[in-house]
Formats: sequence, structure tokens, C-alpha cells
Amino acid sequence: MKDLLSQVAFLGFGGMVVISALLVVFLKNLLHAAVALFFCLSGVAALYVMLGADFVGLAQLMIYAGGILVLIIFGVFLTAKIYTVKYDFSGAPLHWVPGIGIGAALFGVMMMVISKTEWPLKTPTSGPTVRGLAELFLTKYLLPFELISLLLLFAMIGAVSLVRKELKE
Amino acid sequence: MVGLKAYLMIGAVLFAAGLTCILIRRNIIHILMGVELVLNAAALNFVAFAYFTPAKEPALALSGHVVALFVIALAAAEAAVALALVLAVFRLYQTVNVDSVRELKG
Repeated sequence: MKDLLSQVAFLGFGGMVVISALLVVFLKNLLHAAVALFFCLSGVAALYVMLGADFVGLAQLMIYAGGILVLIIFGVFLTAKIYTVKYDFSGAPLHWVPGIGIGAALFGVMMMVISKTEWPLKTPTSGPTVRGLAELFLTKYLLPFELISLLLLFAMIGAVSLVRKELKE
Repeated sequence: MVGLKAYLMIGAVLFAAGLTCILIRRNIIHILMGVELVLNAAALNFVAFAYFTPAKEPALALSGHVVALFVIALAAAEAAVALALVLAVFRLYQTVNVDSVRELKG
């Protein structure tokens, strides 16, 4: 019963992720694509929780779906011309053939690699991960942890300085 | 039982979809959405391997989660800077079509 439930949940959330990822690629309206990206990111957060990554799943929901996506929608609104609602400049679908061909070829190669490799497996266990993550962040991954806070500071300063309007004297 | 290969296949779909989005779209913000898809695919792979694959030492079993958190933080920083660049480009060129931003070409 638990097995069936986990398979149904995986099919549901996995299907949501796959379908909304394809919608992000092929929808013409940019706002519709942003909404599809929201469903994709939320589905990935659900998949994280199913993989025992409770903290990462919640961080994904808060930061990715609730921060980055909102930023993207801000960008869509700030760069839209109000009098023409034309977002899509990609041209005729004929121009898409090389791009879709490359994407499909890469997907085929990855599927072959995934299905043919003998992955080393263990019996998966899950539990609360916050304590384990805290120990890892403060012992083994301390330098990347500090560096990423520096990186976030630089990104903030850079982003503000890029859009700052100069004061005209 | 849902195995490792199923999660890796979802990661492969996300990666190929994101790459296709980057290749065929001409609106900068749509391309940025493709980049987010690619990053999500990589992070999902890391977490799937952390769940299903044995680690070198038991203390390092959550390394995949650590990498996924770094990926999320990096994606946030990159999205902020990228959207600032998009705004600067829009202010200068009045368009977000990548084909029109070609002053450096030739």
C-alpha cells in the first residue's frame, strides 16, 4: 500500500514537472511560460521531499518558487511594451528545428547512459536532515559556505549598480 | 519501488528542455527560464544520488543536499544579476530581443 502510494505520488509530481517543463519551452506567451515554470519548480520541491530532502525541498519552495520566479515575473512586466503585447520573437517554427534536434539528441544520449549504467545502490533511509546539514556546513563545507555569502553580497552590489540611474547635476 | 533511474530520467527531461529553451527562444527572459530549468535538473540529480547511492563516509551522506542548496543560492544570485542586465539592456535598446543587441558583432 505504501509502495503504491509512493509510485502514484512519483507519477503525479514527476508528470507535473515534465509537462510543465515542456510547456515552459513551447508556450508563446511569456507570462504563461512563467506560470508553467512555477508548477515545474514546485513539482521539483515535492520530488525533493520524496527523496528525503526535507530542508532542500522547503528551501526550493521559498527561494526558487517564491523568490526567483517572482523576480522573473517582475522582469517580464518591467520589459514589456505596454502598447504591443508581443513577447515572442523566436520567428517561424522552422527556425526551431536545429534547436529541438540538438535537445532531442542530447536527451536520447542521456537516456541511454542512464538506463545502461550500473549505478551503485544502497537501501535508502530518510529522516530529518537539518542537523546533518548543519554539521556538514560548519565542518566540511565551511569555506564554500562563507564564500557563497560573499558571492551573494557581490551579486547584490552588482545588481544594484547595474540598474542605478545616475543623478544628473 | 521508484528507483534511481526514474529520478535521473526526470532530470534528463528537465535538462534537455532547458537546453532547448535556451537554443530556440529569442526573448532574454525566456532564455533565463531555460537556464533555471537546467540548474534544477542538476540539483535534482545531486539529491537523487544522495538518497540512492552510498557515500564514502557516513558523515558525507548529505553532500548532495549541500550541493543542491549551493545551486539554489547560486541560481538566486545569477537571476538577480541577469535581470539587472536585462533591465539595463532594455533601457538602452528598448527591446529584449537578443537578435537586436548586436553592436559588438563584426
